[in-house]
Amino acid sequence: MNDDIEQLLGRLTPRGVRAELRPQVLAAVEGQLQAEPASPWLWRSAVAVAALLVLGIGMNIGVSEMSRRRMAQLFGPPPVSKAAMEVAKAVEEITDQQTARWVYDRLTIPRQSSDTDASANHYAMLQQLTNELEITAKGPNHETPQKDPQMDGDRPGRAGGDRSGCQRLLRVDYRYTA
Amino acid sequence: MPTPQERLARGEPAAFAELYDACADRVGHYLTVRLGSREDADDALQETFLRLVRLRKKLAKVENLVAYVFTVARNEAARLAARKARRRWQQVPLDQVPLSEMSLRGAELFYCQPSANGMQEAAEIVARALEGLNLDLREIVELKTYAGLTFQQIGQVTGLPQGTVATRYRSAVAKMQSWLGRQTS
Repeated sequence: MNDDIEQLLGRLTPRGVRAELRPQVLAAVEGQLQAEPASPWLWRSAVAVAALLVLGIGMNIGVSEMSRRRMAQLFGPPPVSKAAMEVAKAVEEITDQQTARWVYDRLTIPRQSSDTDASANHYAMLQQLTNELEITAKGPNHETPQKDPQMDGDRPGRAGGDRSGCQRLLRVDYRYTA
Repeated sequence: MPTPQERLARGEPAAFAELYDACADRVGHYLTVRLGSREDADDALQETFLRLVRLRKKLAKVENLVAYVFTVARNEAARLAARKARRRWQQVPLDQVPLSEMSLRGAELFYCQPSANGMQEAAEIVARALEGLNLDLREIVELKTYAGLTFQQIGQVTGLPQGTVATRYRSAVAKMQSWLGRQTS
């Protein structure tokens, strides 16, 4: 009995696809073949370079961190600079704690050993700045006769508590608009 | 002499033309049955060949080229059906089509010469018998009878073990035979 239905199935021929579909499909195939991406080697090389770049950056960060930890293990935490602390205290007396902290941070930025002259000059400049701050904070009566014509030459001194002069000297002042 | 798979892997347009001539009709019929629409089947057939072009490097290692083409076509049909479902432009499943429409749609799948006596009737009977099957059984019958695949190749296409395919085929034929017996009695 099963042979009957199988014979019946076999007697029928499925309809084929439309004849006009053939050139359409083959044209699409040729288009796809021509629109190939660039050489796979070029693509692989680009990926490899990008991966190496990321790896290099990661290793650099890792080595820096390891070095910092090792130095901290060997020498302990970075020493407190006595000179910087003194300057910061002087700044705090005449300004505020935040400004003093900023000055201290600037002074304790790690410098290379060959930079000793520059460091000495930097300390001297800051010492001079501190002196000027003291003078400014004391009021108009303490102004020196040799005024700097470029800096507040014609302005009267400020009342106690007004730190705008100090801030301007330290270049942390704000410029108000309107 | 290079095998057809090697020529396809090298991207020879002539090799793709030969492959089209060898199996486009069978794949087209299979896709029409699966998708229930000639237009969709045409789209899926074109997508099948484009995917074969993109996958051509793998073709050199394919042992059974025809089964591989049917597998790609089956996947493309599934993708197209999923896209259509997402667009909420779903077609009515074959098992929900009214009987009067079923025979008409089914008979359209087969080529019948007007002069051949009884062939039109046979086509309609077979179409009804096929559409009485669920889609899984019908797929196996279509692949065996009209795509000319072996049970092993059908297993590769559908992902079923060869024994399961053979069992399902026999079950499908028995169901169709039973249906045919009820119709004639």
